[in-house]
Amino acid sequence: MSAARIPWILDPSDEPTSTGVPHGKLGMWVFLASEVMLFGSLISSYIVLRLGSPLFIMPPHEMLGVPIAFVNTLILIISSVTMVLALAAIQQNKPGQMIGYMAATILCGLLFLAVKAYEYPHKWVDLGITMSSGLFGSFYFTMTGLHGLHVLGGLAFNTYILIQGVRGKWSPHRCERVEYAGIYWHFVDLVWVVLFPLLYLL
Amino acid sequence: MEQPKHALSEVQTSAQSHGDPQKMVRVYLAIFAALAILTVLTVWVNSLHVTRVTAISIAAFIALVKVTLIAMFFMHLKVEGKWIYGVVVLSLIAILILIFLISPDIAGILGGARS
Repeated sequence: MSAARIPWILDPSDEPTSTGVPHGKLGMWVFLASEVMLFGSLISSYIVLRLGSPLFIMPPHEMLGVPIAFVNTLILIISSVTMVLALAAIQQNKPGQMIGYMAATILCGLLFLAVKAYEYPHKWVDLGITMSSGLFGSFYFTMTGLHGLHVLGGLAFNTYILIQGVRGKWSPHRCERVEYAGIYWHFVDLVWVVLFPLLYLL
Repeated sequence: MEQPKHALSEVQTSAQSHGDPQKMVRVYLAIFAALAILTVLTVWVNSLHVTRVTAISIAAFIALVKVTLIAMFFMHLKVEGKWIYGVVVLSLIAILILIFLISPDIAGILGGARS
């Protein structure tokens, strides 16, 4: 039975805290701090091997599909702005707008994965870049694959927010989880902002 | 002794902490425009025939600006308090340690390349 049906049970976001910050928000930031270390360790390993290993052979930039990755970067940036506009909409008590922006965010996330689904086989079949073809392939598929999994996780979280929004759960005074979903989604965008120049341009 | 818990009314809520949402919409759209322009700039600079060091420096600088804009405005770090900043600073220290630990390797690689 949900907390809403039993008035004396607090919703998790209502629990008093000793920090003044809601548990959910602090928890999300601690989780993201661990994610920073995960991606940070991969990126620093990439830099060392890229600079120092004679086995690291970088494919020519023309082969990497910079235009398609550029479009994908713009898609993620658009999804970030629609996400933050969804939060602003519910804060202004405009649930209809919020649902529209959330749907647009999810659509952009799906589009990003669809572009990746096109890009991966192109790299395997046409260019011969695979997980085992060399260091670049290993790093490329590990980092973009891990990022893709984070996009999938974000899509699941955003879909939950959208469904609850359609059910009328969110209001200006109860939209913490919309904010947490946003913080996570912006982090996914932030990681891609670093991966894009690292893997496609430099 | 256990610290007093904050009353429900003292716990910051989303609606109160980010300022006037109507005004913030304009800020979000301005940040979006800046991010799009910076993305175009990254690709354009890379197409120019500049030295590798220059290309890396410019790309790293633009990425840093974009990351800062996303964190400060979209993730609302700009209006967060000491607890959230504490977590962010801890993760940045971890990243600096990672970079610090690999710097001898990078110095060795660059030294080897020169000799």
